[in-house]
Amino acid sequence: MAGDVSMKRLSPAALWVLAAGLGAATLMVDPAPATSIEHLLDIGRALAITMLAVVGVTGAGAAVLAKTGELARLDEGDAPLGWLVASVIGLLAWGLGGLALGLVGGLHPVALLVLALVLSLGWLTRPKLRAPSPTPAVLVLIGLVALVGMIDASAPPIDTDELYQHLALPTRMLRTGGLVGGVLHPDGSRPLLLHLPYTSLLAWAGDSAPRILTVLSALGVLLGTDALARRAAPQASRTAAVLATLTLATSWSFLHDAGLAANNLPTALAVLAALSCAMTASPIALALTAGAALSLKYTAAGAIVGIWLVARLPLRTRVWAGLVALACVSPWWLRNAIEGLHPLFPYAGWDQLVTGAPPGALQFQYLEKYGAGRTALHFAMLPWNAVMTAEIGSFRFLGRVSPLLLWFALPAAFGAWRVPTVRAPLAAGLVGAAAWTLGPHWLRHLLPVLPVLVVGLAAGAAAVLTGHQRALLGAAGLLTLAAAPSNLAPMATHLADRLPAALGQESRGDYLERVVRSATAIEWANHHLPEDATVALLFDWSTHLLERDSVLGSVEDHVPTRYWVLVHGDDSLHALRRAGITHLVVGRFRFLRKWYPFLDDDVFDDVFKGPTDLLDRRLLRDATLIHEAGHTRIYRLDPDDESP
Amino acid sequence: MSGCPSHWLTIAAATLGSPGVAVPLYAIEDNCADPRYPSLAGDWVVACGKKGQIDRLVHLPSGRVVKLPAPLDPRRTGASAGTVPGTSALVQIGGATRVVVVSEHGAQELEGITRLPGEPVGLPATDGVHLVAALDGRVEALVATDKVRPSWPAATIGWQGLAMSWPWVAWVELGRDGSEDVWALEVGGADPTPIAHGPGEQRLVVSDGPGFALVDDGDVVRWRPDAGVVDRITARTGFLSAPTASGGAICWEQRVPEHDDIDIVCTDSLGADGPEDQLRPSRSGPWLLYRQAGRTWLATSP
Repeated sequence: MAGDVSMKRLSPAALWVLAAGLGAATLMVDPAPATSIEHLLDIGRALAITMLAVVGVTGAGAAVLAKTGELARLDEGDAPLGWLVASVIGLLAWGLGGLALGLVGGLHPVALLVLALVLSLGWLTRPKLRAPSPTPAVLVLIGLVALVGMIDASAPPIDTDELYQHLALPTRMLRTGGLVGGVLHPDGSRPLLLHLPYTSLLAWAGDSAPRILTVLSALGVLLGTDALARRAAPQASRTAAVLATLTLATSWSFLHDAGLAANNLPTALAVLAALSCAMTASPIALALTAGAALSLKYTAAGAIVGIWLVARLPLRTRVWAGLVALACVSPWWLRNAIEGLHPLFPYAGWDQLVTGAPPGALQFQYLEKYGAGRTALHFAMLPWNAVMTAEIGSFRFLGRVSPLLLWFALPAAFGAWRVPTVRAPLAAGLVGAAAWTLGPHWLRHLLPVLPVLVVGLAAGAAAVLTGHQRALLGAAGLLTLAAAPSNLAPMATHLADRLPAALGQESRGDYLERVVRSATAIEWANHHLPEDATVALLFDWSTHLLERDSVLGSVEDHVPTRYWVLVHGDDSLHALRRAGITHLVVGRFRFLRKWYPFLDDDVFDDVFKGPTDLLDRRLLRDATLIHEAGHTRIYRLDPDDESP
Repeated sequence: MSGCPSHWLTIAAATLGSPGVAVPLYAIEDNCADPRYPSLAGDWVVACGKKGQIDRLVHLPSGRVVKLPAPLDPRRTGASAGTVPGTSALVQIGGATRVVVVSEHGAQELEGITRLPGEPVGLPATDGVHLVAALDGRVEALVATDKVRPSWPAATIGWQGLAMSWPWVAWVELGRDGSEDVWALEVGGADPTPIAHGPGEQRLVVSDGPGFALVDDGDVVRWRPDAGVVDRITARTGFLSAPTASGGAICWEQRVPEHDDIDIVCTDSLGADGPEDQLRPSRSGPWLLYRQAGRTWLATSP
């Protein structure tokens, strides 16, 4: 009998040790290694550092919530939300602290570590923050999304936006130690609330760490969706939670973003946090989370307006919260204004730069290029088209989402009519979705509001069909199965291609060379360009991969390069030389006329064909080709006295 | 050497080009995966198919087309006139090492070629008997069928091709000051040594028969194994393509700042100019192949 008691005490520990030992042996003894131990250790280190950082800065948010007394309201009931709001407020503090460091040129690993440690001191106030308590079935979905995100985050970054912006900005800021922005770094003039934390993670643990932060954001979104859906439909809480999270976790656009360095899911997390505050009448936290959402990505604006409208707050408090939210964003506008830029640069203000206004109609973005059309009929058909006819690989919405969104619509309308708790998330979600229709019709831009929308829709459907929970879940499963080929299969294909690189089986260099078209040339540049070279990337977006100081690069339709060439004309390369640029990485890029059917021929020629032709002409006259690989050429800029 | 069957296609059973004038070659598209092709190799134009791979050679005197038994990747292929008059030789490194000799009798893929493992750094070179290639950290130069592979350590800069004037081989390295220098070695003789170096950029070395031609800070220089630099031609070149030499003549791209233009200048009577830019010259005997406004042109001596 005594032996049995002893076994009961010892067994779990012994089994853990045995499992750990056998696991290590499995990895190390494998005669045909399917993974690289060193790579897995790197990923494990990045995961540990990122989690520590997130937990640390959440302490600052938790301290704020405890101090204001709003934590108690958020953590009421069996679906606590304090952790969600605290983590977003912590992220806000982390980003603004990074801004302060950046302004004084202090973006160095040690200074960034001190910042994170200072924010972690919030835990010393001993806030009574409750951990999330998800529905068991939702945990399965969370596990699947974690797996998807971690595979993506463990393989080398290849996404265009990661390479030119989300990882490129931290890379550039770490090289310079300060903020970047202006006409040579237009992406750096956007709000950098996420990119400054990314800079810390990149400095401490390499380029998987920022992407792991997004994985954690995706998991946070699922946990937050679960909690909010349960609160919105208390009479059918588990069904609402499962339906809402299932909609997200089986949408290609959500899964694809889960392991990317990108701001859509962190923004979605902040929007969910703002909704949590609105539903619990927590004005200070609402202001801070709304400010965080807007600073993470302006596309949160529609959802934040919707949340602000439905917040359970007196009008005066609501106005005050709105003003504080805007104050949280204002440092970024002020920074641009002080630097002589339009506050919303690079989205606006290309014609107000000190370097001059480009001739013709240079526009940051053509909304007509994306989606299925913008006539009244197209807008009427937009819900159907965006869900059912979207394409992952074309400008037709650039993604896929689950058809559960459409299926929920009718029952959710009834649900909102009958169940008051459904109305706030549904109304906020619909306002956010309506705002999305005004911008470019990319489904990834819908992600910030999508969780709020699915909370409203799923909670509404679950609440109105309380007697038919099994039928509801079964039908949802059937519809998800039908949508799997268009949503999950492309994701599986994507992951299958990345898995060998994620495990370290395929080297980073080999994988990048296989997948990123300019990687071969960039690798050459990393080995052969002088260490003090400053490189301009023209019609190329591989900034993050380049181990030299660099300027320009891609933004929507390669606006920076086109602006530079349009403004400087025949003097374009001399002007770069005067700006200290020594080398160029030039992509062989052609704007296809069929992408811009809405433009007149002369406008297309002026703003697209003209700059590319002129650049090719000037490269022959003012630069020397020193390497070419595939579509990418590398030039040395000739000194002025050697050019015609 | 054994012959492989080749297909003769009669696209134009007449001489390509016309003496004394330049004409566009509509049958030779500017579509190769490496823009250094199409180019001339002896009496032949090395040309690509729709996938950008070298899959045919066009005989300039007759206009006849020889299809290769299997396409070659222009990004790892060198081409030049063969040792037998009227022939052309091509070598592809990477994967299997392939040497193809093209003559009026068709394309023959040589057997028993020594395999050079690894990816080439820059374009290799051959004359159909010898082959030279830069692999990772070394230059290899050998008789194509010899099993012995002599190699020398070399930090070739890549992309720029190797030049062969057997038994001499030349290539470009980065000097300690970060500028480009031209190095050469004699197979069976002296170790690699810089033949053109200094504070400026010495680059884009090619064979010009008895020695090498290269670009030195925009000028064209001729170098001989026994005499060193024998000629220096003031020019404004070396910004895109290497000079090209044949039968004692050299041609190169020349910036003409007075007209904001780029022409092709030769040391003999050939050349190409006009309001458009003339680029990527390739010279062989009486012919000069070049690109103008996205099309391939051929100028022929009068």
